[in-house]
Amino acid sequence: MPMNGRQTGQNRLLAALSASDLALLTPHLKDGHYKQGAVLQEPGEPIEIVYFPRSGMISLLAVMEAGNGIETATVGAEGAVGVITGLSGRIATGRAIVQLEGLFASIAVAPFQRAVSESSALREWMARYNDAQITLIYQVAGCNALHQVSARLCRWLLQTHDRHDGDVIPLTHEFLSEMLGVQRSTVTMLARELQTLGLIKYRRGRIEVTDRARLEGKACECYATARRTVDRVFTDVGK
Amino acid sequence: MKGRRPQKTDMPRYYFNIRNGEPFDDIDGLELSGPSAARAEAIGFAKDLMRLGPIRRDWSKWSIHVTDDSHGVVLDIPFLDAAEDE
Repeated sequence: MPMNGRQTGQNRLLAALSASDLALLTPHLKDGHYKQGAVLQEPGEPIEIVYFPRSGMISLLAVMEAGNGIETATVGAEGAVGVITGLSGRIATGRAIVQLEGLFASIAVAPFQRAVSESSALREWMARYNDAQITLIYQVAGCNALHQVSARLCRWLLQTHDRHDGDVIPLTHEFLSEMLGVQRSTVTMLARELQTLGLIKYRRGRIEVTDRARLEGKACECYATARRTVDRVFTDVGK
Repeated sequence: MKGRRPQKTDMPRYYFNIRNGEPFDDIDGLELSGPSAARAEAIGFAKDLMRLGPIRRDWSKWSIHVTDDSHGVVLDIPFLDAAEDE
């Protein structure tokens, strides 16, 4: 089941806002197409823009001093990157990189902060989503340390498949190795194992999901947990 | 497996095969700048397997055989040597 709004290019967070809250943002929102690999935020640098994907996927990465990193969250059309700027901080804690190209609505931080300061309801939505994102990051921190890398790869492929139109996902080993924090050769070996099981087919630069149900069976619990975490942002309103 | 390369580069392609232990033949390979990059990849691969695999496994016989397109073994990195490499 795809994440909400994938077909319509609608961002779930923006869609949840009241008409008056959305009207605070709309004059400043710009739609743009972002390509795979584009870096939207670098750790330690000021956040300039808040992104609301309408399609595609952004990955948030923790980056170590040596330059190697690991993914800590994925963000698709259900969420946003940079909403923390409407609450407190202004400095990016991680790298944000476009994992699947897509259409993103973006807003500069200054008008975003003005809008949030004008509406407590809008601020509340951004806080709710930000809390969920922190929960997702906790989950992935545990996942990265405790779960088998093969189960993590399955989880990641499912999260990516959710945000992608069609079963053939453009993914290089380089990206996957960065997401999982392993060598490219390790990705090759893991992909081969999944291919042998009939769950995926891979070629250089792309992975095709061929048996989604069994891929879900091989993924760690974090796939389902993450979906519930995001759903709660939109379903537990007022609790 | 079509194995079509997305773009042609001048970099050599190296294949990272596991020997002994649970053998794995790398049919995809990676384009890398040269032998030192291949060595670093092999060491990282061995370390990944030791880090990610079952804790109490005897890795003493495992090694990474790195081959190139001429199918010669260009490097042979025993896992236990990789473990000591910083």
